Amino acid sequence: MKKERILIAVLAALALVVLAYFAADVPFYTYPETGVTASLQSETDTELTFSVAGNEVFSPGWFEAMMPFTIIVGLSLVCILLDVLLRKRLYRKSGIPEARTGKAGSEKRRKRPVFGFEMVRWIIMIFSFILLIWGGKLLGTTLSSLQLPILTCPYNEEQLTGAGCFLFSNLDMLAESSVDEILWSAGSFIVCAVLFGRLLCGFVCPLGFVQDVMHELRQKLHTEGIPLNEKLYAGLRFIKWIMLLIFLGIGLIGGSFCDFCPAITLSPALAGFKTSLYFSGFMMVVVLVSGFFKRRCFCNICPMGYLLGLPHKVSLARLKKNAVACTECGACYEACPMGIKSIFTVREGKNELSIDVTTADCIFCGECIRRCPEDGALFMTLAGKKIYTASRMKFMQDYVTPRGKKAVENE
Amino acid sequence: MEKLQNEIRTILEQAAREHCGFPEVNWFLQTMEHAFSAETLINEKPSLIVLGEDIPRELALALSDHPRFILGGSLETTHWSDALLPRDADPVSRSACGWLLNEKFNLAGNAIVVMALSSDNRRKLASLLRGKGIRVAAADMPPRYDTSEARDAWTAEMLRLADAVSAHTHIRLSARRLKAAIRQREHVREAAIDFENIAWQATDSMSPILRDIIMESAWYAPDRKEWVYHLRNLIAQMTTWIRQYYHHPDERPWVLLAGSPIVFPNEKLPNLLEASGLYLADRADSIALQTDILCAEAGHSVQRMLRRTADLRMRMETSGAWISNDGLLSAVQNRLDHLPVSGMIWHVLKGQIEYDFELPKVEALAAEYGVPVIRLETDYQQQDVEQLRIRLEAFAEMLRVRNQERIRIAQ
Amino acid sequence: MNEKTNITPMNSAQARQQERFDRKGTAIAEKMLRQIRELSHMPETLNPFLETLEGIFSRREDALRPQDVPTVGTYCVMVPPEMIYAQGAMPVKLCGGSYTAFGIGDDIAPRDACPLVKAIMGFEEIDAMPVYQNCSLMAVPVTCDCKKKLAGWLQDRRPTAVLHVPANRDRDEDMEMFVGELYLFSEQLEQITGVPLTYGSLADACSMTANAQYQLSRFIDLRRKHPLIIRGSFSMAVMNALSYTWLPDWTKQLSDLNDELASLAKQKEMAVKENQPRILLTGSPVIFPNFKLPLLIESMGGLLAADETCMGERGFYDPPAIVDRTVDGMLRALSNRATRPCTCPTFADNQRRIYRIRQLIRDYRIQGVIYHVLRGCLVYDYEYRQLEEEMGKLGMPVIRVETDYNEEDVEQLRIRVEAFIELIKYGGKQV
Repeated sequence: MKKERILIAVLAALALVVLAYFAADVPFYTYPETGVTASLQSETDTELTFSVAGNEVFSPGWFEAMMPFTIIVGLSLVCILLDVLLRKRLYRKSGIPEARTGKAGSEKRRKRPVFGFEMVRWIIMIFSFILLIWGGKLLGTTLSSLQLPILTCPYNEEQLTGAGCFLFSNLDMLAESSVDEILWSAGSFIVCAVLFGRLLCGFVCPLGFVQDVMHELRQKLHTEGIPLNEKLYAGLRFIKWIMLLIFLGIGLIGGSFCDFCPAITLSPALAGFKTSLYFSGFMMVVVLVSGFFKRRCFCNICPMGYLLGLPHKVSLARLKKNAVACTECGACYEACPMGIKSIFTVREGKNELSIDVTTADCIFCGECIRRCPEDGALFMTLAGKKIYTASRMKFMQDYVTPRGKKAVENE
Repeated sequence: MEKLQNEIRTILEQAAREHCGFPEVNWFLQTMEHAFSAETLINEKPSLIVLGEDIPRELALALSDHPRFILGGSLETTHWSDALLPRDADPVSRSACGWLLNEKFNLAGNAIVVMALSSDNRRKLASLLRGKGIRVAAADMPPRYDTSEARDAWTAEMLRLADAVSAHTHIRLSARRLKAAIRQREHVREAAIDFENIAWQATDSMSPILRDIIMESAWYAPDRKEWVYHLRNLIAQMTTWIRQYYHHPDERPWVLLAGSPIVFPNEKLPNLLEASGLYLADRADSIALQTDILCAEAGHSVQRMLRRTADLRMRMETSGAWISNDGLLSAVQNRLDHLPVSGMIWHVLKGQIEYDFELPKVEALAAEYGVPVIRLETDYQQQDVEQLRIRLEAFAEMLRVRNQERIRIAQ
Repeated sequence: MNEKTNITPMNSAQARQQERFDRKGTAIAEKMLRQIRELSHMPETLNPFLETLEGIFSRREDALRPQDVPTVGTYCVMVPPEMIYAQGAMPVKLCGGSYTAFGIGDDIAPRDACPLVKAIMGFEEIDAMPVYQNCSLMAVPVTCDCKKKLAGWLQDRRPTAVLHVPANRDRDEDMEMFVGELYLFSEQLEQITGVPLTYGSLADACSMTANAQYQLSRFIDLRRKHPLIIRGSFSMAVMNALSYTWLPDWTKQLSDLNDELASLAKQKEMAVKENQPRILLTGSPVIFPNFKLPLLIESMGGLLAADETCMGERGFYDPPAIVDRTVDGMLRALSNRATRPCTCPTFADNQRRIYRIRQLIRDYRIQGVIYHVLRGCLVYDYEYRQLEEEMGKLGMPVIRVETDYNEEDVEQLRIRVEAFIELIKYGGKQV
């Protein structure tokens, strides 16, 4: 049994590396060569063709630039539909109750939106999405020296900040860059990683926003997802190591991560830059489809996220647990998009009323706290101050009918 | 420690006197003595300890070359665990707990203890042992044995045990090892059945207590091939003896002892039966019935072999884990069909309530055969020996009278 | 009174047994209810709960519910009421507390079986409890040995659904196995009610139980903020009544009780004085009419401030945390709720129960713990030793009280409980 698993793992790793290396040879959507072509200061073999000028939003040029992304979204929807139909057929054959498939019915409950952590996170995510992608256009300038270590994209020249991912994926450029550039890059990475850590993943990253949108879409449609368990999460973690290897290493052996990275399909297109897509187009379809069925699936394998999570022991944001109040109900584990089981199983610590359970995987989305039914069992602190605490009454309010709080009518 | 050695020695010495001079018997008695001797208990550090009879022996043998089986049975060990267990815990669990947790020897020092959670006592024992720092791998038994899901669940649990043990002993459960273990068990089983048949042919050659101790020594023999070899010799010796000498027909009523297991060295009841003039024909308890269970055919993969084992075992196994212990009923019926049994003793150990629930069905079954059933509730202590003796003597008298009636009617 | 559906007429011995059962059953239920009512500071809004209990045990009526809704008898908290409501039936928790049924069951069940199971067997034999007799299906999770054998025994007599509860729960696969059991259970429910499981109905049922649990959370919150606001015997009556009440009705009744308690709290009107020891009751379940222990505690000058028993607060405490709004997601949440936070000692690893008790001690400023063991309940007995150790570390006095379903040991218990309360008042842990 073990031998088979090793074999599959090795094959999967090889497949990914090969795909990443030859990514530029798999065109998804290419633009014809226009007048001015320029490549970023990369000495790699492949060159991407794109148009320098960013088009105004909703101009014909913008629609041209949005073409590949539209195709991606369309392909994703088709894949999702196929999967749902296929499942219906399979389940019907094996006799599993019909209710388990697809979309069925709706509920009488209408939830009133409440201003809380979740709402704040959505607002910040939307703001950062807008600012990062169209920031240059909106504000007139860009802070390109500030290299945010998330998968934003340097190909969007009007992005508000620089993109830290580029330097990591093209480490061979270190030798060519000036000391200033290196200091700015390293500095911004260190500051962001140490101060915020994966808060950036949960609040700022536009790719994360897109995945959260896909998740909400599935919730609204009440379509069955794919619940993961320990074994499957272990599989995802393995893929994460491969991705990390590819991310850091592919530039050194002559490939380019940008041909493989899904983020390139999002930010430049929305800002109106016509970017030719190679394997990254297919990757984005995978990201969207997997993000539909499993919450934040790509975040589990994101190499940039892993790097951000490395200094989690010293980051400002911390997740803490009161081991005595915790009933080990496992709701936090079920809710966690990153599959972190230790928040639920850890019981020992120096001070059992406030055990630090921050891990390298945690993106601080706050779902665990939202779904924790015990007062004060889980809480998030930022620079020592509690910003979000589990509360039973708030938990219940997520589930009651709006009038349920007062008196209850007979249902 | 002294008392324990005395307990063992008394039983073995008594048994040594109860046969017609077969030299091979000594080997078995020595094996038992060695298994329970002070040096073995103190010095031998098994890496796998199997608690209870319901983990298939072939699995244990495939996972470790010298697993130690702890089945309970010793009065002295029940005293050692008195403080840890509640008043109503059954003596088998008390004894098992005593074997593992005492200051005199540390059997579980290097070991992982494997057990099936087939009753309340086992569940809480697992909890207790873990709390004391012993490594325990526990298999959850499904409550039904007849559905395919139950068989799959059982197989999955056995695989889970195998994983846990392999992680500890670093011996992987391979198909080859499992095949060898199954074959060995098959040899043991065949020899045991032949031995029983011979013993029934000549009831005066050997007391049932000695017969059962020899059968039980299969659990403790360091090398089962050797055990089979010696048993075959013994069978040959007994066959010769039968041919050479004239045998008085045995006038004693034959009884079946069923229900809670009789475990060496707790030979209280068998001794009482002897003393009351009854011949203990066979035991139908979970330990003795392990011999009945057929061995699975060897296959190519561990999974398939275990599944076949599940198919065979689960319907034959008598265990408190099942909602209705039909395996026990069919075993009893089998014996009533093939042996000239006049009466049945339903043995219930204090705290093993699952056998009390089965009593009405067993009584109904025995009534069909015209066999009276007497329920004896006892534990390992010697205090109630006199009461039991009186009851058994009355029962024996009743059976004798009935048998004579039957003979007279037949004439 | 109750129409028997059997055609065979009762013979005179059976008729006498039936009559005795009716008479004594009513007498005991009435006595317990009277004792509850006689306790001081009974809130007005407690009456509907007591009336439910009176209807079931004193007048022996069936559970009140809308017409044409069949009932499903459940045994143990692992059976999710949400599923049963979603598929058009009503769950009734049938764990037996009746002394009279116990007396009858004593002859049928093995001597050492727990009184709960004996009472259930008594219900089956005596054929005089409509809330039991009229159940279309019995759902028995296989937890302890006695329940296991009870499942087999019931299977021979009426339609029974058996749920395999995983004894190990450290791996995800164990919880997922129980999801499979819930799917099978859903099929069996569909055979009874004809209503399949759909997203809409399950979501609505979950909202319904969420409303009820919201009121329960309010109740608990009020008691945490003011541990002296209501007597434990009243709380136990509220939780016991849940077993037999149509859930939206129970929610409304509890909401009224919460409102009354909130106004009492505002006026600072407590049920007992500050110096009365606050006691936690934990262990085997306390099921009406076996209210011996709570009544004793409160009549001997103590306050039953909290309980950790499965027919008390734990019976409905854990809410399902639905993170995925699909049928599978909801069933996963229900399975999660049934297995992970459950402090039933039939799980091989039950450390969480110790933490739960410690949290209760902090929340309600408990001064003493009474560990209740029913005679024959082996699993709770096993856990006593470890709990005693843990309470020793906290300096919390704890006694083990073993009792049965009869009234013979009331006096002995009274002495022990009284002594325990004195111990706390004059020498125990000061909080």
